Amino acid sequence: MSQNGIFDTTINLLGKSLDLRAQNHNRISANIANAETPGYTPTTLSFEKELQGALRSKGEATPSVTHPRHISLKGDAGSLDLVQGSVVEAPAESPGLDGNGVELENEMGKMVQNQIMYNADVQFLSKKFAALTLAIKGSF
Amino acid sequence: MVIKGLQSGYGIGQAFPASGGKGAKPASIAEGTGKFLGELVNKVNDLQMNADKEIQKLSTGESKGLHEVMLAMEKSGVSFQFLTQVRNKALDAYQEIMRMQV
Amino acid sequence: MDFFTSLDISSSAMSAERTRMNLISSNLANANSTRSVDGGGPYKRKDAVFTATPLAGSFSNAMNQANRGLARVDVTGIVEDSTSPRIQYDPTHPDADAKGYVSLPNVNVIEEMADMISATRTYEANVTAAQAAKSMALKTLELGR
Repeated sequence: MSQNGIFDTTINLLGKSLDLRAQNHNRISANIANAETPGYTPTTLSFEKELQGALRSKGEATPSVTHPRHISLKGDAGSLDLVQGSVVEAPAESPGLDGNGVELENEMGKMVQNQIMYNADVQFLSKKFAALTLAIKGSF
Repeated sequence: MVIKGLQSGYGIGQAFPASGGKGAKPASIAEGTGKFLGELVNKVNDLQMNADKEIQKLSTGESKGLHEVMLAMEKSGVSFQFLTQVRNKALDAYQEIMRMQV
Repeated sequence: MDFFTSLDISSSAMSAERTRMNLISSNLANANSTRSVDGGGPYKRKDAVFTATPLAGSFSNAMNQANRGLARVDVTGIVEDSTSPRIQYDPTHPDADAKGYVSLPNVNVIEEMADMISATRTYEANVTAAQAAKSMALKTLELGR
């Protein structure tokens, strides 16, 4: 139990991960919706490396942001709260004649994976809160 | 009638076998119980830290094994419940003994 | 973040595909119509124009880096295909011209069927996306159960 109190880093990490995955789902829905629009390039939200960096560097005196609304410095996010994910353009290798770069099968695969990970994170959060409740109550 | 201690071959001592082997028998029952509870808390703590590490690895994409994380979480959950029940029973036994008329 | 944005995007795509389906049905039904609605020549094939329009949201939503470039689909117009009609020789047809040629609509049935399959597939994909968003939102409600 560090300075976070009874809610440790993992709970914060899971919360942030839920947030990012929900945003990623919005983005994947937009890609699927525009699967027939001419000239559209699909985008994806990439956040796993940033999460890794934030987990490694937490607690050190890295250049941190004093107010949540300040724009943070480039590179690994100093704290878990500032991880925002970066939007990456990911067009298909062979775009169609009208310039549309969406591959429907890829998008469906990404959506399913995102959904499974989201549900898994919700499960883990439930279990952690249940364990905390057990510790507080002492019995079921 | 001999009341065997926690170091006997049966009983809850077998739930989390000591990694270092049997070792020498402790001098008294109380010391043995204390050692057993201490080891149990350490093991539960280890399992919880392991579960946390697995969750972190899954969230950052280092490992794709969903089943590993689920197993680690279940192990830590069940062992924590086991510890809680052992503590409750030990407390009950202590209170029962204190209630005995001398 | 919210799942209602995702549902909004998916439903916009579903209406756009439904409009496209209507146009395909109209094209297939009129594949042999030698007289169009306004009376000037054969039926002309119609097509829908899809545009990716950015989401109208609050200012803080727009400033959020993660929402950059999120777009929904809108049908911004229905255009008529201006390729020349099919000419067929049939002097007995009531609409044959002086030389006996009939102008038939420029509808290729095979192309329309392929378009219909593509529209169906995209519609189903968007239905799946909407169901995924709904299931994730409902699963989140189970956190406190």
